[in-house]
Amino acid sequence: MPGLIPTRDEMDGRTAAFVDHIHDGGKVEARDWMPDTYRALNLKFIEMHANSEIMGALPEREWIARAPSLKRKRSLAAKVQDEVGHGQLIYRVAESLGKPRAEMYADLVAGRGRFHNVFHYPTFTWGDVACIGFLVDGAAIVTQRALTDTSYAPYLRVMRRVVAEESLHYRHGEDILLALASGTDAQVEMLQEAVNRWWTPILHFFGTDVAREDDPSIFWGIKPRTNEESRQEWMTTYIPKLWDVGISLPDDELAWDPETEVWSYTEPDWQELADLVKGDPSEATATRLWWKQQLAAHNDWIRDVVLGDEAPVVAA
Amino acid sequence: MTTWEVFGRRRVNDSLSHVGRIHAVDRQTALVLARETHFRHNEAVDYAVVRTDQLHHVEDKSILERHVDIDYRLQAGYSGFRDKRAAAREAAERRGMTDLQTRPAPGRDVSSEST
Repeated sequence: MPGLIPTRDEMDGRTAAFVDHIHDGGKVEARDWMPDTYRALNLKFIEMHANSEIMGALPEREWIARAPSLKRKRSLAAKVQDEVGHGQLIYRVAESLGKPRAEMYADLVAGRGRFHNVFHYPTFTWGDVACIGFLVDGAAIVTQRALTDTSYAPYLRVMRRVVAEESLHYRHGEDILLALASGTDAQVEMLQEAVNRWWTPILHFFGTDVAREDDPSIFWGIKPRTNEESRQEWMTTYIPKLWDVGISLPDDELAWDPETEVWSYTEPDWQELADLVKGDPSEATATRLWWKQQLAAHNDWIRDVVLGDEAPVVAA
Repeated sequence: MTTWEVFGRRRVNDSLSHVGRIHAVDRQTALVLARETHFRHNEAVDYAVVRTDQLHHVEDKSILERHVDIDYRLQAGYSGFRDKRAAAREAAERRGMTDLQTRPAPGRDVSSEST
């Protein structure tokens, strides 16, 4: 039984030719033949991404009514709509790999779906909205931009569009961050406190440092870069921006080495990440899923009216 | 005779785009004629045809009009960042947070590509 990264000897001719194709930068369309492992890994990855867009909209949705001005309310509402839209675009890509969207959504609502760690956390202040909009979205932009070179062509095309919309979210996040950073002492303190809380979740977000040759997602051309490469890129882009506005990061080991051109930092507790995403749902997640369950039940009749008795057909 | 709308993908990372219309009696012929009519010079890595009567255009284009200010959905809605960044830096200086730590050289920052 070959593992997730098969050796040459374990591959049949067709699989070996497929692997050569993607290692050569070739792309794969939904209607092309693909090895089962490629299909399964891609589906898992893309379904988790779609779930994350939906669950990522919820912490921000909680702040639409509490946003400090009409301008912020409508820009936050527009952003939440964009994120849900991204979820739908990405579910369509996942669906092309064989799992119906309704099933993925049912799994998510029932608490069986996996999604990114950063969306399991509660939000306490407007400082959290700044952190999600600027730092968490920044991390998502780093990883999603890398995915515009993924081997699965339908995913690649959707990522190009999503990344273009994310750049708007980046501005929205930076605008909120700068307003707090130039505000009163209490506002700056609120921002600093939120940054302190989000630091570890964002380091976790990129995942453990897996060597290129040991990462099945890289072997199968799903993502082109290692977790650590993405984490370093995020640090290079975002940490100086926080320093510039007088915000510090809660890690004494954090430093850029101009010789090696590598950031050093204190290794976060990875067990904490595993417990969060694999263990019982956090209180915030349980509450948000409860809401989704209520809404799903409450909105069933709309689905019936729009779709009638016909279930949507999965495109081949 | 049936007319068919032809869509092509120039490179793998492009969406399908409309390139024109052809006449053909059936799907097979339409695919061959589309190839000969529109894709003789490496114009596409992929293409598709759709019967013209299966293409449904938006009937009331006014739903695409902007009746209210939607700046917050556009890049243009977020501006003045140079001044805002300067104000935040000045505020940081007033708080005594001016310690310039060693950082990557300018140009390594990738966020500018996205804005």
